[in-house]
Amino acid sequence: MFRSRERLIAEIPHLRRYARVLVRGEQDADDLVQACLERALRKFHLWQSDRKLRPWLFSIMHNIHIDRTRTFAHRRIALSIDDVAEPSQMANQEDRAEVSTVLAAVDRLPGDLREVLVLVAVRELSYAEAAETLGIPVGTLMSRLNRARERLRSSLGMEGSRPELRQVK
Amino acid sequence: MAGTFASQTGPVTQDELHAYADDLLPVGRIAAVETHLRDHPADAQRVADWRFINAALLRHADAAVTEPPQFAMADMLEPRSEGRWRAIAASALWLGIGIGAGALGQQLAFRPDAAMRVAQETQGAYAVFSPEVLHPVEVGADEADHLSDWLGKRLGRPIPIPSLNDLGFALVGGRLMVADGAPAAMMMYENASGGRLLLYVAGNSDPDATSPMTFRRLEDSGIVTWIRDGTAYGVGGSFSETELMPAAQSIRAQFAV
Repeated sequence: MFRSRERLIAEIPHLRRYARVLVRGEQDADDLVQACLERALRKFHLWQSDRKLRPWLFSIMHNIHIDRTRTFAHRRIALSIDDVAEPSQMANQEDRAEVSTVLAAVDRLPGDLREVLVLVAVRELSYAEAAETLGIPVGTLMSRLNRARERLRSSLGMEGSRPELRQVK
Repeated sequence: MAGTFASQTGPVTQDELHAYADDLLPVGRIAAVETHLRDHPADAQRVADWRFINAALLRHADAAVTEPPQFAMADMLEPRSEGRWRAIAASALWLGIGIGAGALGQQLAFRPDAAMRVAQETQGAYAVFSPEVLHPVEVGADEADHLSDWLGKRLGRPIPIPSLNDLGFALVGGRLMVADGAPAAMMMYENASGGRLLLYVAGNSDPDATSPMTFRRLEDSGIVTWIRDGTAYGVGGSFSETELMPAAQSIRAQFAV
């Protein structure tokens, strides 16, 4: 059991990264990590050790997030830019503006596209593991990924004429 | 996964463009995709846009592991705290009091993941050695073979000396370093205008560790890291993502041979 606890602890930074792209606000993200760890501890006997731990934990977190989103559907109001947590180590204002603009566009995606995009973007899993986490076939994952990215290009004004956004870089 | 990524030849698929943007493409297909992107500017633009979107999300996610958690998450994983009541009590305590985790829990929750540690080591090595005029390296480029043998012996794995001449970077040389009390390797390259690029290689304690190519900005440096089969790589310098990524991809391919 000691070994499994160590393994769970080692996953915490990865869970925090995923939580930060799932929900807005540092407190909400860390609450989600805590809820995930609590459920993982309760269900640890259900985890088959031949399965990789990270996709299993990520699927727990994903499911908790889905449950909460349903339960608190009425609370899902659009967040203002001020509510989007601004990490202190982001070097400059341009970086912050860039991240806020992209996050806002990501939040306007339909749920099934958004969940695929953010899971792939945190770069913790292979495509196969990401599909397993979300309980969908890899082919579905890839087509949703493509639709999510093309919608974002459109909503961020990246299509056609040279976008202003890119010049920030 | 089989259908879309199995082929090693043939036309480049849309899935492979995504895999390229996500650095999940098998090394053997990188050249084919890059040729395709050179011939199809619209696709190259799409991939660049996807990477831009990725980078923004990644920067947001990465901030999470360097910031203190809002409560001590590892605390509830301490030996006595497995009961649900205990976890709930702990979380209530945390919400109420806010800070003051068990030292162990705090430390573990703060601990950056392996890829972030490599990025920090690379950034540190770049900050220390790149301004060095007299002795930037221990073994110069004229002794590249010796450098490869020596570093390989100390790190206990083959350490080829990648060539970046095609990208306009000439090898300056390399040196042995210390990381986490174990040997690590550093190689330095320089372009025509004197801009230095640093390659950092370290053995990882977990032989199965693997992590995709990731770009980060630390201090004033751009850093690309990846971990493959327990060896961690960092490529850093005062360059943008678009300047660094081709060098990192070339290095990754040369290490994969």
